[in-house]
Amino acid sequence: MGELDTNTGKVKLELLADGLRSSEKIKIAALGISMLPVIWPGDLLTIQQVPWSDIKRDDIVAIVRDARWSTHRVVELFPDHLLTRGDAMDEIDPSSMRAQVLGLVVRIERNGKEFIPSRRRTLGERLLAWLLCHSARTRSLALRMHHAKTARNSLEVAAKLRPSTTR
Amino acid sequence: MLRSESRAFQQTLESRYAGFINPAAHPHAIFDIDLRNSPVGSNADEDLQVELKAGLWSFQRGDFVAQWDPDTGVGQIHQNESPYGLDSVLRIVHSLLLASSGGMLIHAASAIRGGRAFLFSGVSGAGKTTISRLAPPDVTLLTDEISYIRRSPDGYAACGTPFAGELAKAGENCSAPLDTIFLLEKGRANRIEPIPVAQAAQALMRNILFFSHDRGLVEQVFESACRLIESVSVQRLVFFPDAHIWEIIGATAGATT
Repeated sequence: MGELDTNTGKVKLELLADGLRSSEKIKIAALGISMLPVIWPGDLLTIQQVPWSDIKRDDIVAIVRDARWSTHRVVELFPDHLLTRGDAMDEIDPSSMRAQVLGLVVRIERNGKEFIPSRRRTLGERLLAWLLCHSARTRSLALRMHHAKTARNSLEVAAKLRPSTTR
Repeated sequence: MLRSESRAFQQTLESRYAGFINPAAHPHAIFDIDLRNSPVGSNADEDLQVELKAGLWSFQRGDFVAQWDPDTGVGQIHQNESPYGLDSVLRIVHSLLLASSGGMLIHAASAIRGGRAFLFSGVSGAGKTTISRLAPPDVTLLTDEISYIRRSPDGYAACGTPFAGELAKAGENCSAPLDTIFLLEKGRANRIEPIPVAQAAQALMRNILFFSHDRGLVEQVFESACRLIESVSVQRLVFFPDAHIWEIIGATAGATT
């Protein structure tokens, strides 16, 4: 889940919504851990505006509520609102009206690789999500390992790039 | 603090920055200016390069080369005898100093009226200097080109700068709480219009002066811009270039968000 500083949340959300209106797609960085192991902190999410009728159960949607945005999975769909839940969370979120749904997460970028989030989750992913939800130790270890891997990947990428001068 | 071995250049600087010289003040930056080893050529239109390496900033353009240590505040500038290169170095340094405290430099005119400051932002030709020229006697001009916005626990203040545009006149060395940021647009009548938050943010960010591409600093400036828009009234000012525009600006004094 992404959380915005309450002093600047409104401006950033307006920019986000405006970006989606003008370009239909926008990229934002994930900050939270509610969608582990599908979405990790630092992942770059491509959010696309779609018609309400295109949203299906088990899609991952971006929602705004109280100057905060989150990307959670759809668990139930109604004509004018939907219910979501983070994969690594027990409780279902408060319902989200149409106006609160920014769009669909259509792509996830991590460590130079891209993949399309699937509606289907394997048994292994579900078990891992449950473990990450209920074991703080496992969650902490997983995040540390992810951070180390991301840092290593950044160093490798930086080593391949020529130093550039700013203009 | 600016130091040069050339007495003539020192006098040029004292005249140029006259209203802003305070020998008793503690300097945030101390620059030694070297006129003997200036870069070959004097092309101020060359792209500016601003880099941070090993904790030292370097600034380079066709007409100057400078280094600055942000920890000690000490730096060197190698330039020709034109003061324009120095103006640019000072703007760069102040944009970096302000970034660390939530303030910023904005391509805008600013003025004080009734104890409150008003900003008039826009690109070249938008009317910053025109608004400045039309100001009545009870208005104190802070600048017609580069506005200096400082953040404090009490809010934001606009401060005068010696950076002049077409008005060719330094601003007054004073400050006031920032009341309203106006985004300028020329038109056939004078009016103040609300502007959607996203448009206000995009317009303001286009006019923020920041020269480094350091990711952390750019993010910091972005955060500061969002915070400023949340805190201060931002409106569109459509104006016909005559003095009546100041009747409208006077009417909004004190109307903060």
